[in-house]
Amino acid sequence: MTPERRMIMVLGGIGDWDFLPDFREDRLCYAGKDVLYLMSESQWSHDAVVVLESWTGEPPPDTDAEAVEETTISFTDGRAYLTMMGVPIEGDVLPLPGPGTYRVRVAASGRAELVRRHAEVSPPLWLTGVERFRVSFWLDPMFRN
Amino acid sequence: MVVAALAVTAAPSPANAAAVAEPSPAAPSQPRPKLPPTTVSATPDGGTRITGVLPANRAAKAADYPAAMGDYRADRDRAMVDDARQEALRRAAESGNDSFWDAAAKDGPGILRERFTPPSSPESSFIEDCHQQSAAGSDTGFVKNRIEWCISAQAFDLWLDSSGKRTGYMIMDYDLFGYGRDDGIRSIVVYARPTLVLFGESYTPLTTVAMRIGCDGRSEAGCFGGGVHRATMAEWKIRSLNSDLWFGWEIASDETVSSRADQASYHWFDEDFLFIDGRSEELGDFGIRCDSATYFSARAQACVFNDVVPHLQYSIKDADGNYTNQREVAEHIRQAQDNPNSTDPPKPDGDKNIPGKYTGRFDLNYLSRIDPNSQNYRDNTAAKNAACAPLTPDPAIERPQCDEYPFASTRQGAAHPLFDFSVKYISGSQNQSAGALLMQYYRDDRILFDDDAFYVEIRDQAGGPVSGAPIVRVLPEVHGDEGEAIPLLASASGADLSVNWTAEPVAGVDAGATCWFSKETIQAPTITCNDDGEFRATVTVSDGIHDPVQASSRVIVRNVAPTVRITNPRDWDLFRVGAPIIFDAPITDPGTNDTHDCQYWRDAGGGWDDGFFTAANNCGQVISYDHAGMYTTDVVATDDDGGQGGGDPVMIVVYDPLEGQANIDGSTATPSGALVANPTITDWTWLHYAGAYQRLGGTIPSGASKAWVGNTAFRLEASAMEWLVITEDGKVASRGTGAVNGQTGYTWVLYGWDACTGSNRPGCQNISQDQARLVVWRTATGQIVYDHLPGSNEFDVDRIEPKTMTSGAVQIQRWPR
Repeated sequence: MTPERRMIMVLGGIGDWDFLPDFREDRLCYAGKDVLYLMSESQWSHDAVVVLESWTGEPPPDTDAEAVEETTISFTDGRAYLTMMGVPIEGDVLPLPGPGTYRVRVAASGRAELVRRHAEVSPPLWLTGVERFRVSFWLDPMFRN
Repeated sequence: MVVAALAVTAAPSPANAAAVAEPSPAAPSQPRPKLPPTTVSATPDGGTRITGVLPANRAAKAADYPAAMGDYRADRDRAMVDDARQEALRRAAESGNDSFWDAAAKDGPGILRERFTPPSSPESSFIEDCHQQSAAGSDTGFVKNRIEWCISAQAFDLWLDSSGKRTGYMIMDYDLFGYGRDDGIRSIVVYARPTLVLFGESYTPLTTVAMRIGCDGRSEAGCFGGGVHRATMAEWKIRSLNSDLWFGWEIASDETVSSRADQASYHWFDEDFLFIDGRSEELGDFGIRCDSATYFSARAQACVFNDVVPHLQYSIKDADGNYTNQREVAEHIRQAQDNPNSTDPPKPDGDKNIPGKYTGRFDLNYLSRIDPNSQNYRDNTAAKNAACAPLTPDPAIERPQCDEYPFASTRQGAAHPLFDFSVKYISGSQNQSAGALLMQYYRDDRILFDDDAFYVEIRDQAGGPVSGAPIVRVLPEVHGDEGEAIPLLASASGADLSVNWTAEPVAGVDAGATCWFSKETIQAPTITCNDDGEFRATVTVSDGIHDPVQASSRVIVRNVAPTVRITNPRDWDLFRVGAPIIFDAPITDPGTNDTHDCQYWRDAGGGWDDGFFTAANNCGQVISYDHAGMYTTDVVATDDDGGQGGGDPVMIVVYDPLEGQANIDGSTATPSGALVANPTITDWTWLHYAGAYQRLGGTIPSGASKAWVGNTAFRLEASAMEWLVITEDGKVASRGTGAVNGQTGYTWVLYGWDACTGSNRPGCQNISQDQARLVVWRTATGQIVYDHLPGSNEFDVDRIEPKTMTSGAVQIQRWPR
């Protein structure tokens, strides 16, 4: 996935997202209804690896990640899908148990290396697979029926 | 445990790059055949009929309906550009509609953030919004946000006979509301409702008219649907009064016949109004675009209104005056659009041309979206990186990011070979905020890849769209008479409106003609004009915010013939021969600007005189008579517009005390009905009269008079004489008072015609025998009790038909002069 303005969008539902984060918070991710923003570490062009996972319960900690953040997201239907600027990537759909409120954990790695390598040459090289996001969803136990 | 996972390192291949094509001027196709010029036609009775349909703004300004229809037809039916997409862009450019998207407004009238399905009837908020937009009366209507569209129009059918009198009319103001959709169905829904229905004469409550919505023949393949809704005028009227009664149609699009990317199809639909005799007039066409683009998540099929210039709005400040989180992006774009040579990277060999500025109209400097999974996008990004690399961000900038304009997601991005671009370091959060909104904009305005021109507008401060200028509609044409208070009607929409009417002459108006209103500042005043001709009544409506708007009614004022009446002298007034007689004959003419010619007719003067001009609204004159007689006088006035009228003639009496004496002594047959109290009696009426003025010229005659009817009790005994007239040609008339059957309170007039016998020539009547007439009436009531000429209203001695005397004679003895 190529971040646009450092952003990678994961969407759900029918695309009715209207959540606009306050990006001044400088977080790893921002979540609203049917939308999750993953924030890359580098402004320069690269293709990140994004892994979407669906868990039946809280997954084990990702001890290798450089940055981890958990938040809550609601999906209006049972799926999450990767997009390029809101444009779904064909076939990249993660089935979820159903609509509802989920906890999501974003674990990112390769971020320091990405920044370092982007600084090596000017203009920076278009790197692939250096930054990696692991995005894990599980139903929020507080909202589980 | 992991139940599902996916990993992506998407690096689109060049093969995935979207095709890029420069817009090129397209040659216009042949004009479609002109519709028959049916605006003006003949009515079945040989009169004139004016028929048409006009968008409300044209109708409001139409001083001349046939001309307005001609203009509308010419604009509507002109040549189309061959390529439907290019034609759509051209129409969008000309429409003035701008599908905007205010990035700083969370909610607002231009924003549709959710997947849209048309409502079962137009929503009141949209109706209200539409009525406040002057664009709703334009040729293309008001496209609010590509999903919502409306237009106000007027259908009219005016019938006039050969004299210009109206013999039938139908005026219907109506609204069409259209809804697109992006809920997976390729169709639009159109609703219609009249807002004003006026009809009469040839249009009756049972007359049927209809609206038909359908695909225009020039649509790209795949357009279908629509139909006819027919109703009586009474039903239309009811619908105009009930805001819940709508007719609805659906126009649909078949994606399988499209050969365009995203199965896009450009269609036109129109509305036909079917009049009383089935004649139809067309409103429209209106453009829609349907597509089956798969990159709008679950909004894979949609139809939107297409006559718009879409644009994204970024604002420096929000509606509350606070800086927005897109401020730095907005300022960067403004710099790039307005002062491109000041931006990085510098261009050493000429001026920069950075596209995408919204100007309110369509031009070729638009932006077009590309697939972010395309090589084009990656090229833009790479070019931007190269331009940003030499720059050093200001240390004060929070988490700086190098922003580029035009966007990397547009074909006009940094890698474009023709257009220039700008890069600038700004706060990362601002760049991200603007980017997130850009993605929403693409979705909400349904910007297709490589197909939709759009622009970017930078505003100092955000806010919803300012309500449009008020719109005003008037009756296109009103008729009335000069001097008549002719009703006008303006229907205006908007808040806190001030209204002012003015009038001006247009054609066939004499100098000095003026019109005035019952009250200039109300929407439904009356207009009164003091002369005939064609005038224009213009209403100016202002809300104090926008430029005032105007609409004009054509005011046809017909001439009214004057009337004139002799108010002095009055019937039976008595004058001495040679005395001046003042005729006062005021003219009544509602056309107070008219001047007049007066003509008199006198029974003793050889008919009508040559007349004279008066500007004083009075045909008065002073005359005198040289001879005694009874004179009937009439007068007519003719105004400067050819209208002519008169009043009732007046009969006066002129006596000459020096003329002589008269005797009427004898009998006539008593005509049936002469004696009112015994109308069947037919006997003999006996007359005995002798009268003369004193020889030295007195003013009252003296003498004796009596009369009776044989075999009845009727008997008149004169008690006094009022006057005696002896004419030059041997006629006698005398009036006095007396008693009938011993009862006083009666007035009598006795007439005698003296037949020529040889000795009395030339002062005699060329009749075989003397003739006489007696009239007696109650002085107080005027009730006739005896008349030789029952039922006659003629009392002028020259104009009566007296009865032959069966015995006795009329004798006149003239005094020597």
